[in-house]
Amino acid sequence: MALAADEDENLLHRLQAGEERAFTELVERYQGRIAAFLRRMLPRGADVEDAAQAVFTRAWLGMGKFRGEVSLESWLYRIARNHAIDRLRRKRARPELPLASLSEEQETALHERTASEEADPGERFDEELRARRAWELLAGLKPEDRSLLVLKEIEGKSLEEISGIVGKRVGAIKVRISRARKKLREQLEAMENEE
Amino acid sequence: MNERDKELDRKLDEHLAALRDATTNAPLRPGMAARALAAAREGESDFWSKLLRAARFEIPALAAVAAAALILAGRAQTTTTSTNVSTTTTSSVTEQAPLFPADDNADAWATWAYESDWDSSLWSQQDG
Repeated sequence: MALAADEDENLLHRLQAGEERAFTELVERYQGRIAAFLRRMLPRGADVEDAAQAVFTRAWLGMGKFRGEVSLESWLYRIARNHAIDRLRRKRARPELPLASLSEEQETALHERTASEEADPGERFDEELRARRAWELLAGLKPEDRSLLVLKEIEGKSLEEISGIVGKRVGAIKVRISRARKKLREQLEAMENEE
Repeated sequence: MNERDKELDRKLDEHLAALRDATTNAPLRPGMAARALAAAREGESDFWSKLLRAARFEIPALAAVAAAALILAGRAQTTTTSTNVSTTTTSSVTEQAPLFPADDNADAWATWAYESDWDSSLWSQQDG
């Protein structure tokens, strides 16, 4: 659960005073969400825990520069987004592997999630297939557009929150998300036509 | 948006929802805060050791460059002093350097001595 504004402010003061216990609280509160976001952003085989740790390390080192212009959560998402985009840009020379080639971590996450439900095997298989296909579709987007779509459609952030995270106007974000969705529809149609 | 696009949009949302469900709440190893703090300290100490390395090697090098620049600036200032001394530093093979400065004053002698790299052995040569 995200912090209320006054809790946020209190935690920020303690963090900027260099209190390590406050940092532990921050990590424990947000590591799940940051790791999930990175899992949705990074390609197969990426060490998501390592990436999440790097995000929190950067947050600790950059704490003095943060002025509270956005919420702590948005600020962490900003660091995570920038980190993920950097990594995706470096990996752009190596295209995503096809649908069947998920990393061990992604496979585990998928199986644990679908196996934990009471759904019948047929439904679980369909869910698994849809998740894999979503990964493949997202891989076809530019890293910046991928991040906007993930933040909006998967993380459930509002356009105003996304504006605070990426530092762009709401109007510009809307246009980019709309174009990204159009591209994904075209990719999805192409996939279905091949089947 | 036409009907086909609406259908594709709906399917896209289903795919994204499936991805959301598949990637939420995956287990993480405990102790991420401690590891992040350790990495931060290592990053800071790495910064300081880089700074010390630069101080050991790069600052002396910069100091040498600065000293050379000062020497060259000093020489340039001396050569602009108005004298009648003909320079001996660029004498050709056929040209003989003057034995004495043209003007008999302290400044001229000092300039002549500097520019001719004069040393005491020259006296013995002049006197024979």
